[in-house]
Amino acid sequence: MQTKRSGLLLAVLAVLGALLVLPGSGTATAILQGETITFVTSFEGDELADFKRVVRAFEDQSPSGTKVIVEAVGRNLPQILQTRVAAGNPPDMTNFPQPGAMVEFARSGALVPIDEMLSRTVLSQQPKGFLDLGTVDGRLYAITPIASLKSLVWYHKPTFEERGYPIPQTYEELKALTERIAADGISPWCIGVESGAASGWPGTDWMEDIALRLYGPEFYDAWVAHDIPWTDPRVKTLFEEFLYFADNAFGGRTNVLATNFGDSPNGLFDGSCVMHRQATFIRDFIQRQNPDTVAGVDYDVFTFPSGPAQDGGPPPALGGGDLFAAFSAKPGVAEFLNYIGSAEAQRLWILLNPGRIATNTTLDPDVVYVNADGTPDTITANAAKTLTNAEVFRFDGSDLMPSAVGAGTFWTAVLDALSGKDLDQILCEVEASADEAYTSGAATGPVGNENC
Amino acid sequence: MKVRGYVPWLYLAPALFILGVFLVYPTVETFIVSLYKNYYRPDRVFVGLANYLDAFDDRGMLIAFRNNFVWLVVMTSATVGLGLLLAVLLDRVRYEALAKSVIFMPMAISFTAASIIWRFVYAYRPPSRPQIGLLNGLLMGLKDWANTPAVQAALTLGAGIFGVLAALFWGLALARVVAEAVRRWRDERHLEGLARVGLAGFLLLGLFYAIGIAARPPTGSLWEFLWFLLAVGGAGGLLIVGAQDRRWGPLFLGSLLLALGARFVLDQADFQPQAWLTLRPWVNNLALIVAGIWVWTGFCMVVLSAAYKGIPSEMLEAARIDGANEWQVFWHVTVPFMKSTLAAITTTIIIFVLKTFDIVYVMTNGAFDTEVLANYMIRTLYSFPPRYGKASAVAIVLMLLIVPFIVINLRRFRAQEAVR
Repeated sequence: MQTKRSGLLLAVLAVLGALLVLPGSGTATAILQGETITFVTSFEGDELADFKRVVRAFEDQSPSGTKVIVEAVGRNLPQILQTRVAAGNPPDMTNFPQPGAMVEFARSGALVPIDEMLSRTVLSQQPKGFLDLGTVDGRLYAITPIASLKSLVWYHKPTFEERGYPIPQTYEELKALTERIAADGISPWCIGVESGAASGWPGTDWMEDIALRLYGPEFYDAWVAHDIPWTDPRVKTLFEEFLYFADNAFGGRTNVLATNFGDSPNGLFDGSCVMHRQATFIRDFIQRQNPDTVAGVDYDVFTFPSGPAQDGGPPPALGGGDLFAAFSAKPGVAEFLNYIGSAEAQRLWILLNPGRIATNTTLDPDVVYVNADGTPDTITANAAKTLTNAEVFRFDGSDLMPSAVGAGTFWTAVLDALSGKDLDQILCEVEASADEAYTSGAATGPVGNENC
Repeated sequence: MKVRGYVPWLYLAPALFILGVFLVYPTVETFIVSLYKNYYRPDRVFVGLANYLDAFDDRGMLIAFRNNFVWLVVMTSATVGLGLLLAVLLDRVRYEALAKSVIFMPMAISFTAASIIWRFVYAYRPPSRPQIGLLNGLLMGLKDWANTPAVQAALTLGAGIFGVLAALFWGLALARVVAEAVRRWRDERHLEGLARVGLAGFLLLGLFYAIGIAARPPTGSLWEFLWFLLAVGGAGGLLIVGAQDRRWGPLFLGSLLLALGARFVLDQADFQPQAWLTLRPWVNNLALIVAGIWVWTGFCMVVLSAAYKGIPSEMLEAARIDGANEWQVFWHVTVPFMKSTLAAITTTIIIFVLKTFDIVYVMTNGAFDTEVLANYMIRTLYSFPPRYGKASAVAIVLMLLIVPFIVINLRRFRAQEAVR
């Protein structure tokens, strides 16, 4: 009796053990159908759903039957990537919202160069600015299929037409318009910097746009590379300019501090304010929270105008985007990269995700950007044209800086400035953290700096 | 059966092995990593204690230290105090089991879920939009109700009347304290007389609070916060002594609560929704701590209740027969009996409080000066370029802060074992 029972127990254990040891379903499918590649992404919510549909479209047309497993990790992307790479178990592909992180991984050898993987056609269809962005030490590591333009001002069209406000063509005119609207008793701007853990980032976008306009791209590059210190008087001017606009925003600095960035444009429609500076993605937020409004009728967009540094030229374009990079050289990865860089994939994606700009150069902006009802989406089309035709294009600065600064002390500096803290002290603190976080750059830190 | 010397070690071996691999080795490795810069990269360099010095230089780290200290003091005292209070009070009611289950429920959900719940409680929308946050919604609703003229008039009248009554009863209690002090002084019991005088002084501070001088939450400077603590202490003294008085106690407490309640509702007349999690430095930290208290009080209550029920009832009855009032019974009989449990629970809560991470990570991720050490360590580690050395230094510092409390716990455990 005893032996029979223990025999049964052994058999159960053996079966369980076998189940544990057998390969998982992924590998089984791979043996049967084709390859499987894993994609770790930071996309969330609707963005994630749209991306998954693009991935399904890829799987449907993949000649080798490649399957893509999408793992969404939200804002924990840096943690997941770092841990998996350190453990020797990286995913096959990922999207980097921050080029700085991509450069880090490329330099440490975790990423594989993709210039050999992309077909000549797809490579020729990528805009040069974004190819340069994805290039590290001469090799291409990432392409940017989807981008956004940040130098846009969304305004309440009916008020502008009623009161005859002109569309400003220069930065000075923009400030004059602000004064004029304030004199009429209306708050000119709606600004909100609250964003949970990322609070403060809208302020950094403002300052980057202002930097390009007041001092030009050379200053911008030096600032982002930490060749000039944060205690430089021009950087202080950037903060002061931003605070000027915050003072002219609805509810003043305290409301700017407390309002969530996604809620702030709603002020355009309840009479609180008339202008809102934000990237193309805000279109989706506006549509969802104010479904009765019509683009081009209730609200419209003008480009954040040029400043003294452009000397009469067109406004510089500040943009952002997601860089798609690869950790492994599987053939499925090459297929996916070629697909996502092609016009077909990007046309589908922007149809699903309004407000995003596709980077493939063969797409005609006037044709591909359409609203849900089929009418042409002139706002995004114009934004796409501004992005591709810009003489000066720069990627979002805080995404290029080391994250301790660009996603850390720069954000808290914005919050501190709005709370009324002394600007010199704030800049010294940012400089101290930059001194520690940057591994290159000519600036020497707060020690010996006469302002600290 | 004769047991050979090495046999106990054989039984312990698997557990020791697992502890060694998953606890001892990572700790040692973390310490070694903290002595280098870029330990896991080809360009590693030995820097000795430089990472530790850097850490103490960093403003973010100093804020984290300050916050950890505030968490420690406020959350430990509130959780243990509330737990004790609930344990003693609920012992006497019929619905004890129901109440205890409800209060213990927050421990049953994940701490991340609790943090998300509280994040929604504190949510903010601009004044012109409907409020989705519970706190803002409640206060706006209260404001709308309080803004009708009839309610306003009633509340002002009520606040006035009950305020006067509370002052009257408090005055009577103070008079008794002073009378007792004089009596003891006359009986040559000088020390007790002095103690009574000290108590009367403490009550005066409570008076300041009742008049409302320190009724506003402090906004920043350390002095303001100390004054606030002092006033709260005085208010506590006022409550303790005033309520203790057998004749006037309940009347005093009742009128005080009604007066304060009316005052509070009146004050909401011009309330605007607040972004609670952005108000620094004390409001947002206290908001986070409240979430922590909500989670942990049930645990303290259950443990302390078990200890409370372990007190022999003859002791309590004997004390009551000897003429002690409830308060004296509590202080002189209940608490001494529960001393060891109280100490154990306090050190346990301290250890958990110092390790707090999820509440801060989910609600603010350390923004607006709410950073704590555990969250600071994670953020430092997962930045690009990753700063292994500094993050490891922070981890070691956190460990060194917690170790003394573990040692205290261990010592007491050993002493208990020795007694058996």
